[in-house]
Amino acid sequence: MSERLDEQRTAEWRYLRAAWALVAVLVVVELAGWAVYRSVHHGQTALELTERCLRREKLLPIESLTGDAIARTASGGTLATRVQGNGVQVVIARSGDEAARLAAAYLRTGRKIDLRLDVRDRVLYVWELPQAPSPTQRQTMYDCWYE
Amino acid sequence: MQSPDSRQWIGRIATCCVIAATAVVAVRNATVYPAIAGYDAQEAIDYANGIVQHGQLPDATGSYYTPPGFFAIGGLGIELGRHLGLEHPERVGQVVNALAALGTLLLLLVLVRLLWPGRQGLHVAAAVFFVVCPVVMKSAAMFHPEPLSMLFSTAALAYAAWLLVREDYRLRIALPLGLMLGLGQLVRAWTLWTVVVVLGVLVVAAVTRPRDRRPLLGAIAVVTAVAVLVPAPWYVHQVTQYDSALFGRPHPSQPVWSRRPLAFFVGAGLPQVVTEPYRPSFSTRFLPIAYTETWGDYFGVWRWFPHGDPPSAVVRRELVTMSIVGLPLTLVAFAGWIALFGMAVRHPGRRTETLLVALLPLAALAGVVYFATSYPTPDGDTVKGSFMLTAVPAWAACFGFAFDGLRARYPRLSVALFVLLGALAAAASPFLFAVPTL
Repeated sequence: MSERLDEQRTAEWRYLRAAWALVAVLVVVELAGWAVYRSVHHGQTALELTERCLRREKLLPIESLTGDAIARTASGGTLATRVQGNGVQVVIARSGDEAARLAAAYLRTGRKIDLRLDVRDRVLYVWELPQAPSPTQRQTMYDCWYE
Repeated sequence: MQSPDSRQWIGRIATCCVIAATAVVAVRNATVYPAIAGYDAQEAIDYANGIVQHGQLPDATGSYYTPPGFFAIGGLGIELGRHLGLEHPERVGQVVNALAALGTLLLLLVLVRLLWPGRQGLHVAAAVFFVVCPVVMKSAAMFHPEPLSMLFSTAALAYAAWLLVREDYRLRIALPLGLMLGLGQLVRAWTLWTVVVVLGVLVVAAVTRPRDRRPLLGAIAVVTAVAVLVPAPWYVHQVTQYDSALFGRPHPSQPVWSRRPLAFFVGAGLPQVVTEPYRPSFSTRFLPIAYTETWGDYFGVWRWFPHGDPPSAVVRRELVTMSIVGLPLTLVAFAGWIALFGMAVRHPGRRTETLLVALLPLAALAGVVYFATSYPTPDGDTVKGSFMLTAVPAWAACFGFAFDGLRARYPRLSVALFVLLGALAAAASPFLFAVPTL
């Protein structure tokens, strides 16, 4: 009985040893991937990362901005795109306080802006159509925010 | 040097202590935790009231896609609570869930004893992992179907293991096995992957055990028939009403594989997975949400409530501690799972019963990834840790297997490994106690 258990444990250890090695490799790869990602993207702004993601991963067109005076004051930059027929302007602030100031400025404009404006951390999404964007449209934009 | 007998006794006493502590903490939590704070709490309470008071299922509202098994029991519990004059009659349903978690722990012990008899260290380690994993205690305190589905799923695993280990293919085993699989489907659709795993493993056994093929095929026929017949009325109702037996909610029109970017699947959420393990951090990444929801409180249902402010400094410290505590436990469980899976793939006929714990985590993970990809939400709501609750007992068994393997290989480290496990459990234990207000 004891010998059989020892044999069983020896056989199991071969697989466990390989499993430990694989787990170690996965941890190292994940950490290395994170380090590489950080070094490659170091210096890239949130605006650049978002634009790259929208173009490459979501295959969305990046459109030129129309005359939005509020967006032009955003210190993190702005861009515009179109998701499933609904235009959206991405307005990036440097801080939460600046994002709140920009949101307050938009809210003063009226035009059902409360339905079309979505503030998340230091980024604002200003949607074109006069109703709240669909969950899929919002999700598409959230997927391309890197903080 | 201790004798094997004394080691067995120490193991048994430790296991009894874990069971007793689980019973006390789970029941205490169920009587303290505010039911309304749990996942989809109002929907669950409305569903239960609707069944018992009006004899009606929800009409395309709330959790209409969830089978009524738990809600029927929970509704009766609410009625009983009202009869008893309880201020919060939902508490009865919460206590049912606490007992379901306790029952699952006992079934887990039955399962690991069947699969690895006489390995007390493995049994204790598996039990500790199960209890310390916060998603178990969180769900067990709520008015929610998940703990009951975990109970049925684990009962099915234990019956299937008995059938295969003891080569007992009689009706008295096959019938309750089918019943557990059927009842599980009447509680939560997530148990479907337990059905797939159990039937798949039985088929593998039938292929690899030519001597037992006939009785095994008979058992498979009985299990399948009962597992299909028991939930059939529910599926017929859903198909008739909503054209879908499972989850007939609208989803984006693009193909499944293009609904999430690559980063969603591979992103580890570093370093926020440790430094800020709560929403909205990494809300578009699968792994860190699943991890922090399992080992902490990502969505804010246990230690903090997302009013708009982040968690307080004290709660943040607690969440960070849990993220760190969960890491070694997860890695050990993962190593155990890889080893068991490798053995099962390499020699499917050698110890077919271990396939039960090797396949369930994989099936659960695949199911949740598919769901989260099919129904993308802005806040990661489709990646709740409780969705994989039925797989936690299997993960616990994987953890016990890897832990015991290390002990056996390095016997001199055995005491140190147990001390380390005890220290991790002690560090996690404050988090397992529910707070009365969030």
